[in-house]
Amino acid sequence: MTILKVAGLVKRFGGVVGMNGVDYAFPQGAISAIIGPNGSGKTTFFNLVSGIYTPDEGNIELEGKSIVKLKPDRIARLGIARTFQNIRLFGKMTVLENVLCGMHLQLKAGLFGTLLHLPFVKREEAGAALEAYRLLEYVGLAEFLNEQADSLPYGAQRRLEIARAMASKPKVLLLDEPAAGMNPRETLELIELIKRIQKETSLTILLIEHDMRLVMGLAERIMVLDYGTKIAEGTPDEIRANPKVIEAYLGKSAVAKG
Amino acid sequence: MMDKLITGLQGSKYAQAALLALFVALTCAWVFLMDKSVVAFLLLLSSLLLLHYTSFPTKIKWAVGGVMLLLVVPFATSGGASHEAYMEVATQCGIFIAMALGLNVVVGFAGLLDLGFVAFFAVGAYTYAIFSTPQATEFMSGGWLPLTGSYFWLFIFIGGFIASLFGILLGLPVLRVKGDYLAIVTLGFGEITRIIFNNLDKPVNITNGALGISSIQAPNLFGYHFTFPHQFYFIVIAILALVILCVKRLEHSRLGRSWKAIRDNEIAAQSSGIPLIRTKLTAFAVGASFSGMMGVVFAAKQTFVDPTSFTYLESITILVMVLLGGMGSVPGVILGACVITLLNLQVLTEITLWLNQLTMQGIIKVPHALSPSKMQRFIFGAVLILFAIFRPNGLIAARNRKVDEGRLRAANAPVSAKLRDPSGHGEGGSS
Amino acid sequence: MISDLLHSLPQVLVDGLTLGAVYAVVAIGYTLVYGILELINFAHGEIFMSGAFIGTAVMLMFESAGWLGAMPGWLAYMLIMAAAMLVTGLMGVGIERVAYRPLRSAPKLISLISAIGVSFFLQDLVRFIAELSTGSYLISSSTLYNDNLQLRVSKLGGSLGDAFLKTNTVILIVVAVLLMVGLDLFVKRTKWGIAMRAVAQDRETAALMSINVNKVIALTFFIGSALGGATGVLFAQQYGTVDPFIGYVLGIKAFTAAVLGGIGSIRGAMFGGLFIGMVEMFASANLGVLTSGNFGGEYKDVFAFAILIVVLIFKPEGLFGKAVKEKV
Repeated sequence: MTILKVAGLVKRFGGVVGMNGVDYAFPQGAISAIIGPNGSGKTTFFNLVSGIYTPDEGNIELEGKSIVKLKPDRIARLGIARTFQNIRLFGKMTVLENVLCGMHLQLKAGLFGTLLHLPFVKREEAGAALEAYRLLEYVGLAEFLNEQADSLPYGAQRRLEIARAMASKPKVLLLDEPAAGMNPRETLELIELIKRIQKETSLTILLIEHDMRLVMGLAERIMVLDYGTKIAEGTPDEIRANPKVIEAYLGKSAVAKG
Repeated sequence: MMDKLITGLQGSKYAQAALLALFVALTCAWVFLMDKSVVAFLLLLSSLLLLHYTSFPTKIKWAVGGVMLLLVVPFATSGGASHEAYMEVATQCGIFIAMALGLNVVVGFAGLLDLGFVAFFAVGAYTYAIFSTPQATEFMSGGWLPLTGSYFWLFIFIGGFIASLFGILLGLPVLRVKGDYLAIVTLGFGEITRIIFNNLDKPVNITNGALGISSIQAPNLFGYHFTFPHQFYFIVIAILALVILCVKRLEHSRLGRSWKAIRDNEIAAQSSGIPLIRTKLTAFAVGASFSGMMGVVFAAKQTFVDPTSFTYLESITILVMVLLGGMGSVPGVILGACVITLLNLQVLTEITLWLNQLTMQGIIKVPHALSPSKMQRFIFGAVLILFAIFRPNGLIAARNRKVDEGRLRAANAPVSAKLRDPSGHGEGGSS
Repeated sequence: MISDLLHSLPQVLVDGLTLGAVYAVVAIGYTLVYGILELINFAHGEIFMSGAFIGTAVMLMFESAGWLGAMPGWLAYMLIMAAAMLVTGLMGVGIERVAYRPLRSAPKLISLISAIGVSFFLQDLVRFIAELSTGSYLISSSTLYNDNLQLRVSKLGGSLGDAFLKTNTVILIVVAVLLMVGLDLFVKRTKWGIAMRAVAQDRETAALMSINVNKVIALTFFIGSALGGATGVLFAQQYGTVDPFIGYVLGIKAFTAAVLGGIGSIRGAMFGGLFIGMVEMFASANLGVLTSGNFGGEYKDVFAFAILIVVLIFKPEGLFGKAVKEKV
């Protein structure tokens, strides 16, 4: 079953076409990867899906309903959460508060409830802290809960972004190069984490990644972009064997290996 | 020796309490016995700063602080002829603290640089001024005008409300503007507000233009009139308590976190489901309402308002308070507001008087141009540059709230055990 | 009513052009700095003001030394300009070095605050110096080329009225145009101008191309500030009296001009300056007439601010600028 569908997606930046008529349907509950050379439009794709850019043409549907032209916060409300290639944490807040911000949509307290210190607000806050703590434990950051987010080591910051995104209980999770800058051990841990998330929550995960080991080890479906156009899609094995992909992306060494 | 003393102090609350009490008693006696001593008064107020650094539980600190402000300070200053002068200064401090806390919500929490913040203060002040004088009859008819001083209490909230409405109206267009442009747009709006207040005596006379509005009604509570600074002092303390309570509750709430999230990273905040415009507008409205409430008090206290009280210099003064104290830090901003207000009203004038005396005695010659009481721009400018470069977190840096890890772990233990056991695999999962 | 408008039109055009030329050159200073650092240089209005004071001071010095009669007016004018440009240019470089460079990687909010600090600091500093040396911060000096001219537009017929101006007005406009054309050529044609544009577009890549970024930024501040200082001299010569607070409102209006034209665009700043100058003069002359006396010329500043706000909200890239999107 399809959860997220894009059709004829076009995005232009001045004269440059960032996304040129991409169609794709992402199956629910699966891990799909988007790969392609640098500048092929992968992050643009995420920015379109999460509402940071508005497409010039085409449609994006989440569970059959169009989300084109909605603001990012509306799209988050409908169930799409994401991480960022260049980490975007709330740097001056604590690790726990970062996750609490991610839970924004789960919480109800408003201005007046907070000012009047209503009992439900107190209960909600206590519950939220506990849940945020659980999420931190899940991604292995519980010991850092009171640290300031920008003081964390790089790999931990990436995992915190994942915890924050998961805190909104999304239906679709977009991970933009989650392993970038990680050492091999951290990458392995990350692969385990993503597998576990998917197994335990049956979340749909979309993944942009350069690390082919990670992509081939995790993804069930892969879409390949080049110059904003989809040049291939299929299972990891199909992609590995696809001559177009090898030419555009994996290069000659991959042909020799494969 | 010194080190030992300090560690001893840090360890013992009794020693802290004794020292604080001694300090308060001494400065109190000094303020009480001297007719007017700025130094003594400053020391007395700085006991509140000492209180901040003691290791008592927060509730006790607040209680002691309350007693200090409600009983000790009014009593200590009542000794001499300068009672009203002291109380005037303290009242002004309170007014500026509330405004600085309001701007702190906007700049410190939400990261929006507002350079026209004094406009909201003006809105509050004019709201009360217009309706508590015959000014209102210039453009409205009704036998109920002008209102008497017993409406003052209602107007504290009306003033706050109108100011926050104004904040929202102003924010709606302004907050679409990108970060660094926001500063200049708010500056523009601040100027527009002042120009309009300055000229709205025609076609319909609403503000009485540059002449201002005078003979504003004194607050009246069941026949008791508030006219002296020592009376306004208590009104200001009450409002200030309300403002601080609001700020403290908001700071670590869902809304407060949303403000800081927007400040730290707008795009990530939006992607976490935080609506930008609405959240920013709330910051504007909350900040403006504090200013508006104090505007009403200011109008009643001065019994006169005119556009010259609401200039760009005032807006920057409030900004200096926030930056000096520490953006986002409530105790810091309170300290910053006190320091700048005292500097403005007491220290600079005292030094000027002293220098003038020396000049008259022919000891030194200080030209009029360098009179410290006119040096605000110079001092504020230097404070802004120096703090921006060397101490951007201010005198008392904002601190994040730390949660008790042990408590969370304990609360979590039974649940996580339940969550994990049925699934059958622990930390690592499969490979 | 129309005939009233027409009658004052020639004068409005002349005054608008004069003021607009001032705004335009000051706007270029904002645009240069914003283009390269993405920082609103709040101190630029005060640089303009300092230029006006330095010009006046040199003028007074010439006067008291009795040199004014001894040398031709154009030479005095040029010497004054050169002095003001040199000093304000160096001031700009100093300000960048002291108050902005340490904050280049700090959050934008902090650099803005530092810029506001510089602006305030300079206002009082200039006041001190002026008051210490003359006893008042309002300073007047004699002006060169202040003979009156009359443009007999009324001869053209209709209800057009005559416009009055001074020889200096012509000089002001000509010098302003020369400064702008010179800058445009500098930026487009010279090695340093090209380096400036490169740094504005992408600082890191420019650094990789072995452009000394700090030097280029310092140069930008020198040029922008010298232009501001030169305009200050023109302003002081035109209006005769200066005070330390003229830079603040004028600075905001010039910034408005820069935004209107599209920040970062030099030609945009020229257009924006002229437009704001014209609108302001038109409003100040005709607002009372148009609203039957209900709203007078005192609202003229509201127009500049209103333009600023409307442009920033609806077309933040300005008329000649390019839209920039934050990189995600």
